[in-house]
Amino acid sequence: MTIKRKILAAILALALPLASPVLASEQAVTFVQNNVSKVLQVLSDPALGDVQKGKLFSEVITQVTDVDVIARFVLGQYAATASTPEFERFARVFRGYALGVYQSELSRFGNEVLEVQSVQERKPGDSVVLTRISGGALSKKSRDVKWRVITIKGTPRVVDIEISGVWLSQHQRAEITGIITKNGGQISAATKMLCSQSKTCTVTG
Amino acid sequence: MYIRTPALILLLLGPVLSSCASAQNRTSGDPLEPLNRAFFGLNTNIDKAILIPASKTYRAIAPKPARNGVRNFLQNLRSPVILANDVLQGEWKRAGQTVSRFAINTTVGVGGLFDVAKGAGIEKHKEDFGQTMAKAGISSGPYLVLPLLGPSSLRDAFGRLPDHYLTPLAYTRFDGKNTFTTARRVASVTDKRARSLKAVKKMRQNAFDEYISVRDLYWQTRKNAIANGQLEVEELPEFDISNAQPAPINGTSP
Repeated sequence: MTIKRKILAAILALALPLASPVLASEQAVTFVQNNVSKVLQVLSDPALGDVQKGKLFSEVITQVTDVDVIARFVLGQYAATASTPEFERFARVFRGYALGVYQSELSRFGNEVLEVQSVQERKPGDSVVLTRISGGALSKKSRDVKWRVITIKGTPRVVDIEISGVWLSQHQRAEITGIITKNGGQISAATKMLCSQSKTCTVTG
Repeated sequence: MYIRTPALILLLLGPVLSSCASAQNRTSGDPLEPLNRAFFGLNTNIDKAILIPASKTYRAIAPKPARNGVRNFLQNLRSPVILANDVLQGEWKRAGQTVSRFAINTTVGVGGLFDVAKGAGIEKHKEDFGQTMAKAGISSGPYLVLPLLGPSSLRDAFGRLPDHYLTPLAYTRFDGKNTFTTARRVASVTDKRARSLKAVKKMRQNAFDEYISVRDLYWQTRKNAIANGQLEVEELPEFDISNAQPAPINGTSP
């Protein structure tokens, strides 16, 4: 009996610290399971035309990500010195650009099945959900995709996606801060560059 | 003498490389940017003038099963280098996988032409001496663009030399060795480029600055390879959510 109790106590002592972060990350897992599948469904729906698909994708992605948070992140060290109008102009143009990138990157997937493999908590409210996408157009192959989920004002939001070893938001930050640095710290240079790549750019300043 | 050479290089370069900027310090890790950009331009021109046409021709004349055979054969030849680096890193399980893959593919897979081991559930992986040095705590040093060879770092560029001495081919002598070595290199470059045609085209279309884009892709994929694809969450950068607006309701924009 004493030995049994000791074993039980040891198991509990080992299991409890492990259980807490898993519970804290459950919200992120549920969020990815429910919402990412929705995004993939929109992209693979053959009944939708390009315009309709783009509009619907934009709506769904607004629920899944927080583009303003990502816009601040991609500005890197320049985010701290950006004035409010400067940031707002950049964020507005970045939104259109980011939607195009996400659509392009995620449209490689279609009727695939998304399966959550595991979750790693970086800190409370900041987790990475590891998924495996298989079936559909990928046939026998599968692709591992990681989703960085941060709880923003009580709601989980995807802020970065890793495909084939490359984090998209981190890559965008490298490119955008590179442009700003090359132009003497001018955020407007990045805004103009993003604008030139977007078909629906409305920046006026 | 041959065996002692890599160890000697490590001994001499270890302190130099360790004192260089780390891989995470990306923006300050490119003090040679003007020179790198010049070599990048040279490589891009060579790519457009020679490699792309050669790769397209290769794709046109060699059917996919044949290209897969070439790729499998070349990868199988690299197994001793991968095994040596697995062992140097103390990755015994992965070393076992490399041995099994080499044995199965060389015999059942007809000299490495068929990746039978993959079908048996033994997945391939890559290792090189640059990764071994990274595991030993040696920092990447500054970013380098090598003429003809492409993106690298000081550490990874030096890692190429020990890798050369870790292959049995370096110690064997046979008639036509030079021809075989050259043919292997040409096949390897053409095959790699043929497999990346679509991805590189997409990157060139989307990049604001191709040089910066390639540099970041190099750092990120290299870091991922060193970690063997394992996620190191504590190394991920922070997102500032202090200015975030409340979440939108029913999908409307904030």
